[in-house]
Amino acid sequence: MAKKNDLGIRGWFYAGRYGPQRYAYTIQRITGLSIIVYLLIHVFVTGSKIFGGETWNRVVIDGLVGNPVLHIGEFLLFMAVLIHGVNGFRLMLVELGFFLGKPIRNIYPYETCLDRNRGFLYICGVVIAALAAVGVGDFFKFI
Amino acid sequence: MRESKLWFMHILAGGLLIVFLGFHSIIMHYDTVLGYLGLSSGDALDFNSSVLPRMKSVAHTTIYLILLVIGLYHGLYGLRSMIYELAIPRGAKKAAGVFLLLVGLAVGAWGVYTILAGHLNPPPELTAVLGG
Amino acid sequence: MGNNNNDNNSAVKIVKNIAFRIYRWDGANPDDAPQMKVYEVPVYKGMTVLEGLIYIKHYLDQSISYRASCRMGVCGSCGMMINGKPLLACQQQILKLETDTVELRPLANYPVVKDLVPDLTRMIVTHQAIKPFIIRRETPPEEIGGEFHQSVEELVNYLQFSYCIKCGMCMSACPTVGSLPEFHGPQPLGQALRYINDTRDEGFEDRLAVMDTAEGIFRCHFAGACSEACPKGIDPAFAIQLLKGEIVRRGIFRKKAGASAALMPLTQENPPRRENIPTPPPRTVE
Ligand code: SF4
Ligand code: FES
Repeated sequence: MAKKNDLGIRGWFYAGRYGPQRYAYTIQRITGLSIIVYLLIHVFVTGSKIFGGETWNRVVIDGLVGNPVLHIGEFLLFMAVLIHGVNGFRLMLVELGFFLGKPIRNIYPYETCLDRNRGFLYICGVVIAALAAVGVGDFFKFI
Repeated sequence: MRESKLWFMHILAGGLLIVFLGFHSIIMHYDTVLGYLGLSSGDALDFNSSVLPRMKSVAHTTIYLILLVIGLYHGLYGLRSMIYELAIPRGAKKAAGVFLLLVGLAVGAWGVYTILAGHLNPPPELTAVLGG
Repeated sequence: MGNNNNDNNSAVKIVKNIAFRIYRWDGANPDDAPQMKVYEVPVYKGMTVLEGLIYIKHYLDQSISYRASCRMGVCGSCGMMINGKPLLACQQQILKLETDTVELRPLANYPVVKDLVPDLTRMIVTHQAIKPFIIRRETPPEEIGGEFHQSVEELVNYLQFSYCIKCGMCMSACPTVGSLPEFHGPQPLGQALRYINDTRDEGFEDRLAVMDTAEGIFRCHFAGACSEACPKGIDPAFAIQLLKGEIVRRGIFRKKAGASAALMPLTQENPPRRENIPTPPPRTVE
């Protein structure tokens, strides 16, 4: 008799004491999930444009932008797209085997591809922060 | 199809999304910045000055079509991938995969219809200014 | 060591007492709920978690179970969750943890047999499934009748991945293994690359068929926790990403594999050689 001891989906969202790449994975997952849910709704909301300006104004301008909660939600979504996109750019290259260095002789203390890729991750972080700053300014209209 | 091909298309769609969705986001969310560069047509959500011209423009219509297809593929493959990572019976995963495919086709069809209908047969300009 | 830690003549100096919170559950009484039991352990400088466990077993509670053998990070028996991270108990010094309690749990993502003993069958089975041996298309290895030559670069290309001790800690760090038991996981996939990157091997297609499924290699998303957990510097996350690139290159774009290792028949005096390969050392077999 043995007892199950799996992380389960908790492991998707809880990164524990692991390093930044493990957190990037969790963030990529959460942002990705929210974006696909949004996309499905987005197609129908913006599709209202074919019914003319009145419908558009009722659905998008009054319903969405006019509703403070949904409006903030829209901004969070913009942030999610930004993070998912920039980090996704890194993952796209990394998962094809680029920017990870070459196999080495493993001599203690061991160096891993995570060390060699950390710079790239931090650059992504800086890019996200910069673009987010502009986005925040634009969204809250103070630039 | 082999999983590697489906996955590679997911990565490819992701790469294209960075370009096209980046463009889309800049137009929708950086309009103040675009204004400084003299590129903005005003509020990106205003029907007469922004939405209608975008509907009429061939370039925007094309971008929307591309965005819709690659966005749905990338997003729904990602969702399917998460479902496949659950410890549920294989049959349930297969069923969920088929369901997502149908969702993609249905939403995609409606999206293509609205994009093309809006382009070929744009609604009239708004005369009375409502709400907002 | 001894339990009279106030003895001034004792060879080792006790630095402080540390509480070990240990997961206790016995497969013989499966209905009992798992418990966390606390043991006070006098700790000296350089003492490892494994030595702490040995102390507990000798002096405090004989019923406790854990697995260990070499106590020098070679056999891979003593992997366990130490303060929430998979670590080798024999390599982790207690004082280096810099906490006053040490929490020990069995490796995550494996069924627990008893206390700190996990059942690693899951890893071993998938490890076998990816065929962790050199595959030759025409001749079986024992009939080749010669030696293969590899350059230093060709060796380094897979050497790092061949040091795996099958401790299974990478598997318990992996979030995908955590939610999908059928996923191959970092250890088997890392070993798949170890053989695919070996110029003597011709088994890419065989392994591709095993890995290229909806629950296979592409469920890895480079969380990288496996590489953090690995005590031997195997870097399984690296291996898996290289493998994905290789699958795209060879499986989708139909790129040819690199040249395979040159064979030097044992019977020939001056065998033909590839240019970039240095002269081998004198023969060791007749
Ligand atoms: S790859 Fe590393 S962590 Fe995984 S089983 Fe091998 S030695 Fe252990
Ligand atoms: S006892 Fe052998 S690795 Fe720890």
